Amino acid sequence: MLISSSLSAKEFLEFGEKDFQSKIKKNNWLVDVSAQYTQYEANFPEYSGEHIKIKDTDIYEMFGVNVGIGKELYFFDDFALSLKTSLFYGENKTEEKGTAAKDIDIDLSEDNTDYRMFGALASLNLNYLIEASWFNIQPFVGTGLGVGIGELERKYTFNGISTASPAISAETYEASLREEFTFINSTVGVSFISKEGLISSIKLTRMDTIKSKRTTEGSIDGTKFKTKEDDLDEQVTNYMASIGMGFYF
Amino acid sequence: MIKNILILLPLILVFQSCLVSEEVFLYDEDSDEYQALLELEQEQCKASRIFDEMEDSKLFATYGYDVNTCYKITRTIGDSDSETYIKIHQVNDATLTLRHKCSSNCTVTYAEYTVTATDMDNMILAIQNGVCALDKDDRYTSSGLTSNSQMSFSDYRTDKEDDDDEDYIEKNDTFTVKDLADFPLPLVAHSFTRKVTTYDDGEADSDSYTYTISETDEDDCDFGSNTFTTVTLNINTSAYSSDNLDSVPISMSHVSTP
Repeated sequence: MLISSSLSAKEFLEFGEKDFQSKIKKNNWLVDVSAQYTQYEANFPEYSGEHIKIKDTDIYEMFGVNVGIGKELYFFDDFALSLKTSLFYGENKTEEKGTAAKDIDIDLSEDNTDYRMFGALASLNLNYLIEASWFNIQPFVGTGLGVGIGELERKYTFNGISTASPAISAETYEASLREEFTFINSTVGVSFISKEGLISSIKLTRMDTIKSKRTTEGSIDGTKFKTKEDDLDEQVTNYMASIGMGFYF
Repeated sequence: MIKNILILLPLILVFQSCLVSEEVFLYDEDSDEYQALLELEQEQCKASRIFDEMEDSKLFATYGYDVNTCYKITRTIGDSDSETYIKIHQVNDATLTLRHKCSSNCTVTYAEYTVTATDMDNMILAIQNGVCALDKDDRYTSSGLTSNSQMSFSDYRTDKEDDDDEDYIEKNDTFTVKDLADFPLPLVAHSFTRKVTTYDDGEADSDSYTYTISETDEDDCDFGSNTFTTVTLNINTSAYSSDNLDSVPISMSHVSTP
């Protein structure tokens, strides 16, 4: 039992194979995990308040993770195609508390955001392998097709200043969006592959997105609203940058 | 293994960026709204929980104060202690009458004073005028504004005229409102500390005076059939706006304080 647990400890988080280099072109399977930064364009109801300005169309940033599994197929010399399916999730949650002034400790405003997107993607990359003495470099270009859902919420309150002359009124803005979309992406990147089959990669992605459905609801200064757009055909371009690690098996 | 842990790096990056909380200051001293914000802060300060509780305690009987409740006041000057006793002699919703047997450092041994709702209003105002002053100028401090039972408030004053002055006095007072459910607000006049520091050619000499109050057995307040002299509870609602060294918000006419 002691031997077995010492082996488990030794193997914990030990990916890769010592003789991987000899079978690097053997059409291996691969798994990768990447952190991604996404710029997502969305349309909140426009609002201009005492301490907030929400534009009709704006870019919202999200940070997330992408997990993929695929297979690499060498078809000519150092050229390979990799087919991969991935799931992604991105989020950005912020809480901003507005205090009156440095020496006046009154909570006057709150501005909370919660943006998230998730979906699935099938992608095809064209890779070119450059074998160097210490590691391998594999630049790639690719394209993919995906579906996803974006959910964005923003809640802002300002308590107003009743003692001002004239008094500054309280403000509230609460809006949530839910959007369904499909996208075609174009990717360019580079992977660094160790002799043991570990992969590090960076890539930039352009997502040509078509939003098909959108529900917007909330209230502005007490006035409620709700809109539902089922046949939306809105095209936007989003961008994504990611850095990831993975391994062949 | 270490390099393989790098595989988890993307996840760490994601979790790091999950929630960002920050505080921003919406205005500064140069803002047009600054004065209004000071007034708002004052308004909110005056609406603090402890002041609501003091307001409620104005209905003395309803609030729960009982006749014959007896309190011991211990006065400490340096190493020397002396004790006096005070009791609730009469109580109804409009007035609270206290009897004080004070055999040391008092001008009257058997003293009696009655507190009305107006006195309570003035006491609350006197406290608020310091604690919630628009320009506290670091002279006034307090704690317990959000409490529903007790608070303390302090002020510092000096007659120092300029930085070169070597002969001056500094005075620090701290009043403590004990649990209001058991200690009626007027008893704050018997629950304070005072530190007086006298500078003579720059040499400091300090004296500390501490008055603490605690509930004690009714038998300690058996004052016999002595005649009680009416004294007054002095409430100075503008005490905190005065630079006078002897200016205090709440004091008793028969108790000498340094």
